[in-house]
Amino acid sequence: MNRNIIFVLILIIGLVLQVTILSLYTPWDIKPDIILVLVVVISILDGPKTGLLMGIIGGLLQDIFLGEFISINTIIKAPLGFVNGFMEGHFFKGNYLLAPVITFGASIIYYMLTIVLSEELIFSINYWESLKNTIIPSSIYNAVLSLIIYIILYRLFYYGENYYGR
Amino acid sequence: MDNKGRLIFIAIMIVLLALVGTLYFFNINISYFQYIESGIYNLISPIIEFFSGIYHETVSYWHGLLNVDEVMEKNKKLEKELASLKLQNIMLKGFQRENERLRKLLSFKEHVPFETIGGTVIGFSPSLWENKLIINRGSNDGVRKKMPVISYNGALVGRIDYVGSSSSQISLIYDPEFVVGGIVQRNESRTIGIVKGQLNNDTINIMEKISWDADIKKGDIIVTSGFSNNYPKGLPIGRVQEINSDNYGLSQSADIKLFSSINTVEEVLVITDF
Repeated sequence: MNRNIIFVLILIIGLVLQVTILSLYTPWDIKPDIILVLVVVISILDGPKTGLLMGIIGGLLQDIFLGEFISINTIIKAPLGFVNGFMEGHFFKGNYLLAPVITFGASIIYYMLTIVLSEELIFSINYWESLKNTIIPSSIYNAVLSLIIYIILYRLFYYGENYYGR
Repeated sequence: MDNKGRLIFIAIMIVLLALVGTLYFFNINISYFQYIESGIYNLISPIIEFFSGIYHETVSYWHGLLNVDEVMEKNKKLEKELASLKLQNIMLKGFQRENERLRKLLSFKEHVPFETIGGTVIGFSPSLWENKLIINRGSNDGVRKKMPVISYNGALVGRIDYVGSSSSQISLIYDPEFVVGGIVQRNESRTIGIVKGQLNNDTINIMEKISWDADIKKGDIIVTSGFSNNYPKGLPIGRVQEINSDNYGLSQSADIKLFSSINTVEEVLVITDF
């Protein structure tokens, strides 16, 4: 099966997990964003084109389950997947620590952009409190999840590509 | 990809993103997109319902298996409670008949209870900032946008925000975008205000625009005022926890402890005939 189709199926499974288990069991009230993690991990592994495609599809799926079609998640996740994709080919893929570091940074940027781009949040939110209580803890959670997902996807699809690029 | 190809690809992507951004920021709705949206939503929501069903079944099975003693004890307690409630119910039926008779004598309008549909919670919002629930009732069951949603104990939970064919999304009462008119239930007060959700706080809403000399005190029950056409009158919202001075003393605001504990809600009722 085409690798992109498998990635889309993985994104759908991610969405199902996000709206059920990951939202029900929230240790210390922290909620991750598994779609963001998947987009970042896939883009690091497969490059900017796939990163962009998965960013668009993941963002759309998430927006649909927030009651809007093309909305904030599509707008932020698509360029985020695209930009992260440029990492591919510049790092040693067998280095598992790469994914959590990039995911942590991408998560902080993503959450900050969601606040800045939504009119409901930009003026009403307490930035310092949100950063301390929500954004950083969720980004750490995302980073931990990304390590697990990176190892699984790398072992499944990219095991032979051990060195820089393809 | 060579350099030229890469540049063209990036340019196309920037143009596409600018288009999508324009659609979002100027709130442009394209009807063709709505078909795709509802198509994808209706395709995925049954998977969520199926998965959520398996998850809840497994959790309750293991919970029952691991806590047999507790479950049996609770069962005994509930049986006793049921017996006393049955007795109470018989008495209340008598009162109801009397009430109806007296209402007719005084030519009062007959009190009609709301028509409701029960729904099971199958999922939650996939976003960090928006508070939503997904239930397994949709347009096929008669659910429409903006219908009020209550918990089984009658407290306001939220309103329907998006409707699919067999599932719908509820915007929750503690979402920062949620606004409802509230009134103090005490007969001698009837103070009004606007109840709003707060970001990152799922137990306390804030009631604003209360006049500076209003009769409101700690412990008062706040119910929906029914002044807007969106919610019926008298749905319980919460209890006043703290009163603060607002707008440099020109008005007051109150912290309202919500009755409905959303995180533990598993089933809700949608009011359909309002």
